[in-house]
Amino acid sequence: MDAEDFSMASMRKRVWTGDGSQKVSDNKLSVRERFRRVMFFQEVDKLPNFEFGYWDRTLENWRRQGLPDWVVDERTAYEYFGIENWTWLPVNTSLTPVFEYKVLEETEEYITYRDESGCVAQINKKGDRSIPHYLDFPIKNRETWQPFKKALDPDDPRRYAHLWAAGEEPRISSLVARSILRRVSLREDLERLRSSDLPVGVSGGSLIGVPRNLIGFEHIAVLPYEDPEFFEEIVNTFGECICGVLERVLPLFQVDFCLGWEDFCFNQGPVVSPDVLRRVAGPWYRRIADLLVAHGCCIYSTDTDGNILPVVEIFLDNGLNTMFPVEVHAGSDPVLLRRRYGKRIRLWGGVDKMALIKSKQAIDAELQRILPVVEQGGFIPTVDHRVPADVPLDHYKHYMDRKREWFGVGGEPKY
Amino acid sequence: MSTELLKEIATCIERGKVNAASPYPPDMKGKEGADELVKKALDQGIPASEILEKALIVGMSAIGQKFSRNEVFVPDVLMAAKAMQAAMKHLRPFFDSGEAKHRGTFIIGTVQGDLHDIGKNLVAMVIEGGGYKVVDLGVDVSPEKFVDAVKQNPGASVGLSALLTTTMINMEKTVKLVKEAMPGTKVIVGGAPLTQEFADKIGADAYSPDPQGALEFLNRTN
Repeated sequence: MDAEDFSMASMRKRVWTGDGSQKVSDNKLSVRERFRRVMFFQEVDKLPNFEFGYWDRTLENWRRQGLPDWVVDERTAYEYFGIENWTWLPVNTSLTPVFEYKVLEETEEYITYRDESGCVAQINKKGDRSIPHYLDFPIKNRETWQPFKKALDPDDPRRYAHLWAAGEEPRISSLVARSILRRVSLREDLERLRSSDLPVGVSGGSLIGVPRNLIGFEHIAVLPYEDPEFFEEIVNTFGECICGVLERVLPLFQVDFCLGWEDFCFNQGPVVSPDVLRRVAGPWYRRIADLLVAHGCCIYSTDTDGNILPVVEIFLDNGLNTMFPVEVHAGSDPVLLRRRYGKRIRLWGGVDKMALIKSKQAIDAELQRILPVVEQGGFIPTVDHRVPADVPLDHYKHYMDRKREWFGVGGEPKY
Repeated sequence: MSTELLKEIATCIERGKVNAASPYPPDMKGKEGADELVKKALDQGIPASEILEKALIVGMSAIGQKFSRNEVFVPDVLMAAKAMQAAMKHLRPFFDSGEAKHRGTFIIGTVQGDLHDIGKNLVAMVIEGGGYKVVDLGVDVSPEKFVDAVKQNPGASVGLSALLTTTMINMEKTVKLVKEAMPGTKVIVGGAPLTQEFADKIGADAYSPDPQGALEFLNRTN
């Protein structure tokens, strides 16, 4: 997987040392080129300046601390802080909607709703609204699983709706690539993505995380033990959908990375046992990885959260080579991971959010701690999850300034 | 004979063998589980308190310790808790009648402003499996509600859970009010963003990163 070479003969190369002392090369690299090169442990003029984002209340709090009024969302916040971005191939590799969103009850304190997946959830209007409290889950047995199975058809045209004029075309066939190419809108998208200066990503879908949301944490954890055939049927259906969609679109686009969503690790490890993960999900990660490599994409990751130590080996053995978001407090330490796995592992994230809450000195100490790993390459440092609402704006600016000064990241701030 | 049976029950709890119909664990398929064996133990005249102490608590403690050492994972603890619940179904009447007694009472809840309950539920299961009566106040629990529960359960210990850095600060007020209302009440805190340093700062008696640590704290202080 590491064979691809992104070196450019015209670029005057230099070794980035992270101390900001060296001059920028004659030919400035695009963010896309920087991403490709850093992920292959190659020289770069600057690191991509990526971040994970913010919780809803973080920006609200920062506004009271002097954030300009024009910074109203993540996009404008990125502009303000000089954070760079990537772009996505607009296809859906997971469920198509099964239900319509509906508010079931609203009180002064709570909103209870049913989401598009059929989950009944509650958010606290006065508390943190970012993560809902799930009250009921739609998949309870094989019968209630059936509508979801149907919503995982890779031929469903809604998956590609942003690529072409939805509804006008007959049902997508196995010749989807050829029929999509006929569409003018797609050609425009193709050109836009092909000439993008930003890294192009594609969703790697979800094998465990979305099913967990549909079945419930406690039930999916024990399902592989109590009804292993049912668990495997669910994972296999999600896997077939992801691969089906990727098989249809990867021949059309050059993507730089694939990022899935599992969100299945906690402080004590994964929601399903590592043995189950290796046996049931592992072959799907491998199949996805092989598909990606066959189409020139060698960076494969999934959003795990939490402590990944019990599952890293499973990921690496199956071609999932980039860990994200490397939550330090949970035990996913980038220094430890690089020491243990060397250049087999790429890292994306890995800056302890707790340091940003604590103090500027703690931020400095944390960035110095990971600096040697950043200098080795294969590491895009970002806060290890969304920035919590109790991080002071002043601390966050200090973090961004230090990232520029010590890590040499790109992007121009407006503060 | 009774020792062997109690050992068998402890194994069923530790390995999550709920009943004879349960296919898990595969190497115990078709064998009797916690459900049948506890009933058999009671039929043989083994006191409920002895079954609790020498079988159920032993089994749950074993799985809890393995979980602390990362030798087993969340699903294994949940299966053990299921086996425990199947066993407790037969023992509950003895607790209700006073013939058997819990080791103590543990009040648990996720603090105000926080709706997360996965970690809290895991701790509650392990503590219950450790022989304690658990009063689960749910999520988004106000400090006043914790105080009411402490007043209704004199001598109970309290467990506070939080997932978010923004809600863990609500633990401080809860600790303060609980200790003012019922001095001497032991309070333990836990949750993804917490540290021992934070627990010390807010005046909690203990912090544990895992359910077994909470159980061991209760065993030391009850």
